[in-house]
Amino acid sequence: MAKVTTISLVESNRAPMGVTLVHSDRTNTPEDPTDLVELARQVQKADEFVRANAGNRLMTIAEQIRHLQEQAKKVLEEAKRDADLHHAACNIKKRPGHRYYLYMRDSGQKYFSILSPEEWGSSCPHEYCGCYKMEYDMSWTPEKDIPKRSEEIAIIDKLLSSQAMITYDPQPNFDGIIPRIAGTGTAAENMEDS
Amino acid sequence: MSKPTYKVADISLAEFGRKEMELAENEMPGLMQMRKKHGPSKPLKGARIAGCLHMTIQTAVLIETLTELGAEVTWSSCNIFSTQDHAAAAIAKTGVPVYAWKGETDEEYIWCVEQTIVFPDGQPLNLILDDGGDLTNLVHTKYPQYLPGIKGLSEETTTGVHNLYKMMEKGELKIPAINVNDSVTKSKFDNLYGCRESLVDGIKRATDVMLAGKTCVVAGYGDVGKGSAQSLRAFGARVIITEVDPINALQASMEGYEVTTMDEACKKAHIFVTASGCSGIIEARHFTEMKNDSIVCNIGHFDCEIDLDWLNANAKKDTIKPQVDRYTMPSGKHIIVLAEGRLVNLGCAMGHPSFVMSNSFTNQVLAQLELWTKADQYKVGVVMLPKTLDEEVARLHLDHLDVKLTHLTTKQSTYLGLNTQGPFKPDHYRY
Repeated sequence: MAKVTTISLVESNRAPMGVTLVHSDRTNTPEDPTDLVELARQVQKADEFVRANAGNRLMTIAEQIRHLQEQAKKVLEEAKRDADLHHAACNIKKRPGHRYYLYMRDSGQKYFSILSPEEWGSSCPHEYCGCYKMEYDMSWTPEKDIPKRSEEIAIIDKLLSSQAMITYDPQPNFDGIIPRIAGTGTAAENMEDS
Repeated sequence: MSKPTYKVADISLAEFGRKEMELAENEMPGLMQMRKKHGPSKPLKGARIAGCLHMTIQTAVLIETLTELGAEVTWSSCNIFSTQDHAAAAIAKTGVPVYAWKGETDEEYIWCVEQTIVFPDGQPLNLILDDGGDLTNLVHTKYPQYLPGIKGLSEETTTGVHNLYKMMEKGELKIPAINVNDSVTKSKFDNLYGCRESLVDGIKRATDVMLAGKTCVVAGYGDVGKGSAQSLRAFGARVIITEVDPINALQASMEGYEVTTMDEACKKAHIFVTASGCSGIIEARHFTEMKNDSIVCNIGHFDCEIDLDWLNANAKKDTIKPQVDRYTMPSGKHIIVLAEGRLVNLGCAMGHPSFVMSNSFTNQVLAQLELWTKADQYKVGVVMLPKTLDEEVARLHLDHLDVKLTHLTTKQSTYLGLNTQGPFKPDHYRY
């Protein structure tokens, strides 16, 4: 359905600044009748743009909300999993940085062991439920994610160790954040020069 | 996958373990003397000793003594909770296949023991060093094919020795066995002198209680009871003994202790120590008569001396910290129980000090040497080490304490009818 766009012109005044106009109709009549149409079209276009803009921005926010919701869900799920794993039966003192193997006894009790199914071999007495690495923040990483997580931690370590230099350097330190380009200095420094 | 070369909780603890081993070495002169004397000639060369004994710092010093004498060694712990992880790590780091960590499950315990049976070169064990009999039983029942190649076993403790005599009776024992437990320098020393230091250590670590002026009951006046009573008295406590054996009761009385029944003693004492080796020593009727906040603990072999089941069913338990529980009785009075009625010197302190373990372990090394170098002299059966070796163990510990031994002159030895080098006592002598 075509939308009727109403345009409003600025109110007219028969005696602007105290000067009475001779013939205000003449003064105020558009020379070209299409001017009004043009104006109307312009306003309509603007409306569309505003709507589109708002739509775009809302869409971004909606996407962010969806993303945040997913993240929140993931955080909650991981927190529940970590809590469950921490409460699994265990005779040993668990040390961060080590892998532990989860088994289920015939009674249904789950427990952590330092023995892998490979080490047990064929004599493994209980059902194997998975391998987890205990991280230094007391979270658990499932076996399949261990290489990825280790890689991430290595990158962060590298970043942190190079950023630690910042206190001794009067210049901003972008090491590790912006890739170094050929020549001296970082890309950031070169940008400042230009 | 072939079996791992070792399995411990955390190999990074090795450095700490090594430092504690160095401290322990100075306090284990018997083992260090064995290294000095036999290290160069490697008399245990060719021996493949599978050991199953608490994997502690002291045991680590024992293991290194055996390897220095030329033996190959594999090790597991004889208790699922007794391993000191730093000791296991330090031993693993030296290349000894050790399978032990604090907090094994029962299934993992058997796995660990089984890993020690075949050595890294694929050859099976040919000597057993056991504490409690689990390794001995496992080899006899599950790996009998290796029995013909095994020269013998040495057993550390009472439980294991009972097991050996039982096996012998039934005709199930297939290899020579040396009972290390009943060497004078073992049982007479760790029971008496070990407990004399570790009982009070445990009570104080757990409660920080002032002992001076308190009335303490020690149930049982055997070696453990004698040591316990002596150290409590040395702190200024008044000690009451309960006994069933008239000889021990008279001994206690001759030492100046009041000897009475638990029914009488429970009303007057502040601290109760059971060391009887018997069951049902402290029961419901005693608990109800006790003073408020009485401390109750056990240093006897088993945890059945104190009726904890009754306390758990009838009093409210509040755990103050691990191994220290304060019970609220129906009357509103409190009773403090240490180490859940298990061995208080292990639960609340560090067990026996290195020096006293050096006595036990030097007996173990001598037993292994006997079995390996004089295999033809040992038949299937259970024997004790000859008295000369028992005396040798004691002799090796004298220097460290600046003890100057008097030597018999030929005239004196003729008078006594003894060799100047011993043995100095007949086998039935009770020390």
